[in-house]
Amino acid sequence: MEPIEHHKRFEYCTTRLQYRQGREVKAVKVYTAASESRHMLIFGVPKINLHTNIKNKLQSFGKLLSCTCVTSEFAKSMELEAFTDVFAVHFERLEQARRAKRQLDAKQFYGGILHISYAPERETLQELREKFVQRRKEIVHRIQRNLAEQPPPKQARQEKDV
Amino acid sequence: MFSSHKHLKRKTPEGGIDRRAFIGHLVDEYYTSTNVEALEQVTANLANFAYDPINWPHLHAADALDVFVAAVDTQNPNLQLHAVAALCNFCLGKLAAQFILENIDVIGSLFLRTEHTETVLHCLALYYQLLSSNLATKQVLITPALLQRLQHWRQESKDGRILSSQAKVQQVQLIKRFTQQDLETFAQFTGDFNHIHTTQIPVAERRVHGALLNAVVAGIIGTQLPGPGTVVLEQHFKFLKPCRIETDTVVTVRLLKARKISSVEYDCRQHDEVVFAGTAKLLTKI
Repeated sequence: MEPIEHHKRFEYCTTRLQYRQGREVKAVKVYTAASESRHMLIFGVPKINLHTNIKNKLQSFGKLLSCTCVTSEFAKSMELEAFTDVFAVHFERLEQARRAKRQLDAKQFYGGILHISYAPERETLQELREKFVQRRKEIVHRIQRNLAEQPPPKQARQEKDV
Repeated sequence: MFSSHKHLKRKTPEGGIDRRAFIGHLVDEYYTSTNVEALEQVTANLANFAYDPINWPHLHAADALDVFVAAVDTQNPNLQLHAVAALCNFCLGKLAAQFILENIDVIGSLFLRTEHTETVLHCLALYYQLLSSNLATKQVLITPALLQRLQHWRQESKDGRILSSQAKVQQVQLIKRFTQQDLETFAQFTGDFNHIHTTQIPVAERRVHGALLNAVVAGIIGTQLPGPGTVVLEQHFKFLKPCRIETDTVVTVRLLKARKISSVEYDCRQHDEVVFAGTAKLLTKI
């Protein structure tokens, strides 16, 4: 299956108005539950036999169900940075994938800069189904937590049932 | 990512604006700005805020949902994408779901005409979530036009996020009508001038070349199911009844097993009667 357009790194946005320019520069991109996945692609790993190193690095975030070098699969369909490998990884849990992405994306790794991208196209139908079930559970959980932490004042109570 | 109240309090600099006010500013900017990039930035910002339910009361208070519907209705594909993603993030909230259903025509019409893969992806996710959590009924969401559009994407999409290779259609059907011209061309090409296929006998007794029927089936195997790259290894087939010309012939190929060596069964029917049927073992490029 093709397009890998969604794995290309977007350009950082530098034209935001001051009041909404955060501490970090970020690209203009939207994320929904459909965008994230326990599957990810890691681009930019220097081609110096770093399979074990990247695997260990990722395992510090959680259990990896798989970590495979897929450079040959991608070299045909997209322009990869010279002398780098692409790895397809599969985390056991979504929160681990999120954390790994947050902490490793655009960071240095043995002289290269990692580019991490969710790869929902690698999910099975069952995983896709479970992903949405999880999204629903997480929302319920977050709403309960928020209410517990800060019960709404009397006048805001009508907003509670959002 | 999700935030807690404590986290937000900590993040807000001393004398800075809190989350509710910030969201209000974003909405205001949407209505007052004429800069396209700014509009795209704020809608993306709002869409991503919609991911975290802690922001839902603020988004409601600022009437962000109106912004999302307005953005869906623009001609700008980025604004449309951001709006659909926003609704997709928001849709599990009861009030938001209600609002989405009230505006389902606008959203549905975008779903039907957009060629933008990302937008289709989030639309699918939006509809799926509404249906699977019983926030909307099939009658309201699934229109015949939508089903047609889904069929279009099923055939045309090469994006693995939309069309899982496992969800690929397990059966292909087409309707073929053989003419005398077809039979003559085939005879010319193959040298099969057997008079049973020619005008030398009356139409009611004339029959289509068996090999031609098989060739049509092979055409489906090699272009649709399993598709290009497939190599036929073995076939067993029977000609059960004569296949007549100038008659609608329903050709069906059904995938039985999808492996490196796949198997299919196929048949040709005229007037609901099977004229040709068989199975094949195929070498596929998985």
